Amino acid sequence: MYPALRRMFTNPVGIVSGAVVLLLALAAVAGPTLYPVDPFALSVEVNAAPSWLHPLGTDDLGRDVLAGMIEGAKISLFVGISAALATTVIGVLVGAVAGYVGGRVDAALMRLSEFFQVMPTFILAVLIVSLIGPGLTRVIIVIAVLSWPQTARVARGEIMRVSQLDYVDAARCMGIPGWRILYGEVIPNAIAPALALASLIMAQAILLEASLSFLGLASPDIISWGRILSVAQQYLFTAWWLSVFSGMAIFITVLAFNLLGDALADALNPRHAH
Amino acid sequence: MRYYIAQRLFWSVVIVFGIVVVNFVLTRIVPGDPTTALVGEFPVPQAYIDQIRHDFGLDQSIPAQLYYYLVHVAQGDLGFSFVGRQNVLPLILRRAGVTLILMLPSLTLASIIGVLIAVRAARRAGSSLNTFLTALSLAGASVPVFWLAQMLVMLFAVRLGWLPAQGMVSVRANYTGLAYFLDLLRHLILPSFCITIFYLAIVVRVARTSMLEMLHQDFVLTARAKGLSENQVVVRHVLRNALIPVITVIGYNFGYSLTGAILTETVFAWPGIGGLFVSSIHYQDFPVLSGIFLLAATAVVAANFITDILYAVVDPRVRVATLKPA
Amino acid sequence: MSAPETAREETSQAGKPVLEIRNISKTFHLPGAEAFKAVDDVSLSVHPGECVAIVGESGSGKSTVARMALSLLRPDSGQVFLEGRSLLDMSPRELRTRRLAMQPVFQDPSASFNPRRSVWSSLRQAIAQGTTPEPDMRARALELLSQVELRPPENYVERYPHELSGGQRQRLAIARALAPRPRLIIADEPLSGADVSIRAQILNLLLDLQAQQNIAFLLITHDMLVARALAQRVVVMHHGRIVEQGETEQVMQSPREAYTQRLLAAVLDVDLAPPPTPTPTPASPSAPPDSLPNKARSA
Repeated sequence: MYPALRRMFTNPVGIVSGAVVLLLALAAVAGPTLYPVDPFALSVEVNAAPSWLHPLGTDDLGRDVLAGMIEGAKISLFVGISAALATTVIGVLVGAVAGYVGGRVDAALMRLSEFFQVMPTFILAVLIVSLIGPGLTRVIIVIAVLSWPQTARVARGEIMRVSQLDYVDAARCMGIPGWRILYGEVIPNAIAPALALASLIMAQAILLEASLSFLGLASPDIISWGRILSVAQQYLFTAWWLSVFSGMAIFITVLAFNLLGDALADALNPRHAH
Repeated sequence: MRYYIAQRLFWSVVIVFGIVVVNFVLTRIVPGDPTTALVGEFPVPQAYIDQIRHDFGLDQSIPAQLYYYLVHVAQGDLGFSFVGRQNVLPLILRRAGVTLILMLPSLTLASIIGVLIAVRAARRAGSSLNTFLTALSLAGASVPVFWLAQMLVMLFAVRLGWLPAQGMVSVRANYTGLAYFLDLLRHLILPSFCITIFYLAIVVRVARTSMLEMLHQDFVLTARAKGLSENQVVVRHVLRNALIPVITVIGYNFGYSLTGAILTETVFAWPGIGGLFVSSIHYQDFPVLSGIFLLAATAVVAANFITDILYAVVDPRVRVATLKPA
Repeated sequence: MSAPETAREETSQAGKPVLEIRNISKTFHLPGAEAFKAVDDVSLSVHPGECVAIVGESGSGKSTVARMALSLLRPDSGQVFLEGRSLLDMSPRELRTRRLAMQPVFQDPSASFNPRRSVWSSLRQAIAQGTTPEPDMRARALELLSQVELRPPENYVERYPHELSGGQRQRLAIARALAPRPRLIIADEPLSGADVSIRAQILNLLLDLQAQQNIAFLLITHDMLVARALAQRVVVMHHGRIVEQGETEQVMQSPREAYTQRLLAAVLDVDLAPPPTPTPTPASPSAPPDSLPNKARSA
């Protein structure tokens, strides 16, 4: 693990994308202190262009866009991390059971994951959120339910590889129960690729949440980047600042998580290790 | 081969059946009255609600309800849209045609450009151009397509005033014949450019990988040894074989490209599925939403099935590999 | 098992084998290939304190026999008895307890240990499955390390597998196998992963263990010389079948089967002939590493 991390941080792509993610986390955590403006506070200055008072302008209700962006960073990170966490937990569990038990259980679970992968994720997500109503937790659950198959497939392959190593056989010969071998010996040594994938899933989750919010499927009591873009859609001719900054934020964040995932996968690739 | 087709067909039918069942389950997890999911939140006459209750057997057991639902879907009855004042199926199908006007040129363009870029990149493996293209395709996969669309509108329609920002045709002009066609084309440029970028990213990535693999295969090395120029090698041997995975990436990513089209249409007010989708979200027109999901999912399964078969025709190894019982 | 046999086995305690394998067979069905009969009707037994070697080339099915004996692989037919009880008829819970009497040592010491566990953690895991009370575990681990001559044990107990040499890891594998105080150790090519300079030491270690602790060994090897050094009896396998078995010296002196003669000739020839130029072969897990004299050449 440690040599992999070292490789990761000698890779310029890894450094830059890691730095962007850190910066984003900093903005979400320290932003409200450094820029103490209430993102929900309404004012009469509606759709005001960027100025000293409002560095990124205001929206149609006179709310400060920069403050909204900081709030949006929080939302995006929260959605990304929770969705990736939930997806990885479900995916690794399913993949572990499939890869470790094998046989019919494996075949059934893989067929199920194939089924989930065929369904048009985005349309289904919109349908579900429309039916059950918006809300961050619901969006996170929907993302996790729809994205676990990729993780499951990756985890399954790696679990299968590790389960045939001698130390797993040695543990079986010690009479250690199967589930304890799975979580004590197999999963810790098989989880790396799934973790690299988690970064990519974070990117997908942030993008999906932004898309849902853009289509008006965000709950009305939150401010997120996608929601700002949704407002911006009505003022494309007059208020360019609404669209430019929040869209840029989504783009850079998603790109950073994608690059980070690639760099992680690269660093964890055993072919590069020696 | 026949066995392989039958096998894939069977699996496709199973998946479509599963999708219908998922749809059924979704209509039951709605908080409150299940008729809401079948009717939408639009104020509808009580007589219609009563009729729906009776038609779908909502007072009966769940398996019976599933049976009624399956019967309706099998007859092509996806419900009635009170917002659109017509049956869901013809409503969606008409809009689907409009979406295809947008999607087909974009997909074709993205495939051609994508393969050309991939050829250049693969021939200079390890070069800075290659790195740049990889980065570009990753950027293409990361950009929110609706934001890209907004940027295009602001630049080319609002700032420069070169192209129309919204719609499929100029409503007030009432063009006919060639003028109509040229007007449509002008409206088509920005949204299809947007989808092309969105789609280019994935085509480049897949085509480049398969091209690189091809360049290292035996028949290519033989061709080189025979003294064919690098250009001849790429065109005669590599390109043809690398097109196979490009075909499959298009086939297997139909759902992905549909998503791109829907989001782009929203920004450009293109009157296709995307427009219908968004207005249905606003009006909570659930029959239309679930109809779009059903049809889109079925289209994806069909695209996958066709691609499976095409792939097996071109590359017999696939057939053999999947024929073996796992 | 018929009734008289059961009776016999339970009465004659002294002659009771630790491990008895009866007519086991195993066929592998690989996708895209024809069914492959890896083990065909193999029977053998190992008595307390005895060392039996299974010799044969790679692909002869000897490792598959070992895996079935260890209950890591289920035979298609036949029976495996550990101290008189059928492994195949046990409940999973009973199997987990009973199999402690039989411990493995694998060929590749680099894959034998969970890279995330320290020496202490790996040994503790093995010790904890036995009857040793918690406070004594540390002492027991140190004792085991001393037994396999990883001395002073304090220097090794906190290390991680990648901080040990191949030979040290193989000693550690033996220590782990000893931890639950087994009556039988099944060792699959225990010497091929180690350097030549270490081999003799590990060989001596195994001999000592056998002599001092009265542990029986089932040794899987392709190397007649190793078999001769350790085993009282040898079983020669070829294409999944037993072609010859008997007292080691007897088989060595007057092999009845042509195949056994070839196996012997391979070792003896190289032993006598001057070393030819080494041919570097990439080590792969499927192909067993070179035999002992070959290793000597490349070293």
